[in-house]
Amino acid sequence: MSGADVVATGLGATTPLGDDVATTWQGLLDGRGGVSTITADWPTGYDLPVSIAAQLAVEPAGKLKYSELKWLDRCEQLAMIAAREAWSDAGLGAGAVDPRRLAVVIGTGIGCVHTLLSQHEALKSGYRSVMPQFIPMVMPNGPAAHVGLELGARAGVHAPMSACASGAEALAWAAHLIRSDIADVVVAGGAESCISPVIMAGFARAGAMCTRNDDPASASRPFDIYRSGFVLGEGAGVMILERADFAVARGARVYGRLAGVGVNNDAHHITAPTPDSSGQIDAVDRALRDAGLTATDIGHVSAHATSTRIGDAIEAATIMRAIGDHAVVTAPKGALGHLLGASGAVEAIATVLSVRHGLVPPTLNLHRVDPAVPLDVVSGKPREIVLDAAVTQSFGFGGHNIVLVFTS
Amino acid sequence: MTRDEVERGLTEIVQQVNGTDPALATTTIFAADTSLYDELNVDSLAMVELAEAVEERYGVTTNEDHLHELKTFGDAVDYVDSLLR
Repeated sequence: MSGADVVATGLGATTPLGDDVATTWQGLLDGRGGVSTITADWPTGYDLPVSIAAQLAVEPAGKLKYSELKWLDRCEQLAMIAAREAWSDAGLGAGAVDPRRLAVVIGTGIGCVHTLLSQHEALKSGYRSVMPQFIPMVMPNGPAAHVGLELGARAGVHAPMSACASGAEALAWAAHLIRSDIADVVVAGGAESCISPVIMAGFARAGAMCTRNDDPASASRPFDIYRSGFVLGEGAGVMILERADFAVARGARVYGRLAGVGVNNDAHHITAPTPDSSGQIDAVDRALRDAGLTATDIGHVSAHATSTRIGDAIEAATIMRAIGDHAVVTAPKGALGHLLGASGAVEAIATVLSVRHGLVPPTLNLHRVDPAVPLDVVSGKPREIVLDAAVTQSFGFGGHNIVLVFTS
Repeated sequence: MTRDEVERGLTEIVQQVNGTDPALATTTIFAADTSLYDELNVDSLAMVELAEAVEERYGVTTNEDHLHELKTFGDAVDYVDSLLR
């Protein structure tokens, strides 16, 4: 890797499994599922084929001020909750970092869709019914901007947009900012909240969603032979990344090292991955090269695996060819659902915790492994392994491939 | 309408538009020299809502140029008072 070492010193999350990292991680280890029937004011009459989702375990209301509930889109709210936990977890008190050396990179896949929809409804009552705060509540850089504003980050605030890879790409760009000596500390991750009829209709029309409405608990089943599409989820994950010597100098607890990043693009199709896995393999190769490691060094892969027929099979081939069948694999979306732009960040948090604890959570609902997945996929209970290096993979509509390597 | 009534009305309106939790709203009139932006959190977006609330409550028409000149709570009271004369 060129440039400074990058380490993770703070973690924050709010997910379908819990409203913090500890609960989410324990939920993954326990094999709890976050998918359920949508209840909250869910409209009927649209003939939607999907009525299940991985909704937040805990509503944000109890963690935010009245003004934040009023003036932040739900996606922005989740980013704030995760960022505050990560910041506090990192022990970065007042004055610990020069604001001109502090950056924020928080991406989202869809953006602040709830506000867009509610304000479109408001407009039907007249122009003056639209909130003056509407635009900052709908702009996709809002989650990053609000976090940056709260922390006074002056080394840049960025919002990468790479669909379901946005959260992982945010971590990759954070590493670049630190290695390029632009920042000492970067607050990085992803947020998503778009469980709404029109978004679900869109994904369903694209043929990507699981419609197993009568059995939500087993709907998301990555790598299982009976998988039938992804389950939409919502949440946020934020990681504090720091220049290693900066973290050591302030006596910070280090969870692990972001040793390598691989960012590329399939340039093949707007939604489908390259069938021969070549784009994804290249991204893994880039990440390993960047980390100064080889495939045999990688003991664990946290797969993107969304539970779609084609996507999971292509990714399995990627893991086989780029890393090998020695790696212990898990697919967190069985439990979490697909958090879209937050998924890469939340799964990176789980990956760094796997490296730290030598524990790989099970893949939920993996009862019969697809023969197209000749991998060692953990199911049933967590697997204890000696783990020095792990990979987390994220892929997004638009051809985005992001691979991160974490080491102890 | 007395100036005291305008002050009470604006104290309510400011708290409606500045993100104050209704359960925590005060009835104590803000001091005249309280900064609208720095202390009462009335930014340019909240000012749009403040102007609309004033128009609705008092049946007056506000002027955007004048609104931008308001710096303190006392300025806002003076301005609304002048509109009511």
